[in-house]
Amino acid sequence: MDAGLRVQLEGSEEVPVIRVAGEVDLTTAPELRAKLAELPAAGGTVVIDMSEVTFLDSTGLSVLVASWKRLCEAGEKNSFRLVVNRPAIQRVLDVTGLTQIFEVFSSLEEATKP
Amino acid sequence: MTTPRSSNSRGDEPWDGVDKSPERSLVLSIPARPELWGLARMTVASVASRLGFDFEQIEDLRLAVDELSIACARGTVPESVLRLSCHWSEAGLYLECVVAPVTSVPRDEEQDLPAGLSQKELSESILAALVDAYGISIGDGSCTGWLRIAS
Repeated sequence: MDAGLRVQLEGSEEVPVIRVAGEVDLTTAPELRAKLAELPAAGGTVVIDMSEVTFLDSTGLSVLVASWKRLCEAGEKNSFRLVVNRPAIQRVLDVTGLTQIFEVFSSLEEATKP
Repeated sequence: MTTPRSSNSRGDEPWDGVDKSPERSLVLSIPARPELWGLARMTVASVASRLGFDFEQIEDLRLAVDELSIACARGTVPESVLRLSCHWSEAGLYLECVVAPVTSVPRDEEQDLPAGLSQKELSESILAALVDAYGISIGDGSCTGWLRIAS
């Protein structure tokens, strides 16, 4: 029933990349929350690659918001970046106004640029 | 009709005269467990597809029914059941989600998030943006949510 979620920590120490694939909903959001909690507390630039996310609801969004808030509190210059290239995911970010607080990129290459 | 203990809505009331005839209705009853809500999303997507909704509208509906389920299933107990009713006409689609039994509405566990960014507020923003009207009310040990979207 559950399309499942795959979450992997990749990238470099300087720019960690969390690659997320599948459906982020009330059932799977805790898995994403746990992986985001593994990110270095000091912050810097963090990239969440959501290009393979097929469904994202408010529980998934609230996990992202909590992580963004934690990163902001760790340092003013920290950067929380999302990679989004599916219209349905972009739309949910647009209607909730979260594109105003997250940096959203259409490719991983763009998001990992200094 | 029992007066709701609490409610939240956008738009007017549910369609007057929703056609609930069996040939224009579908009812899904499942345990109110989040891991089964994919069934509700699939059901609504299937109905909307048959009604000729386009891909984007179907994606919107999948998300809207998920948010409605989340909103209605606050305060569930292990024996709670989610009953999703879909009714359609030429005008569009009307969905009703009833979860029972439910206990009191739990407090928002994300009070420390900035204003407008708690899960509940994000959910309300999504519903307000994606459907033409919706409402959620709690009373009598159950929670009822509805939404409608024009075809």
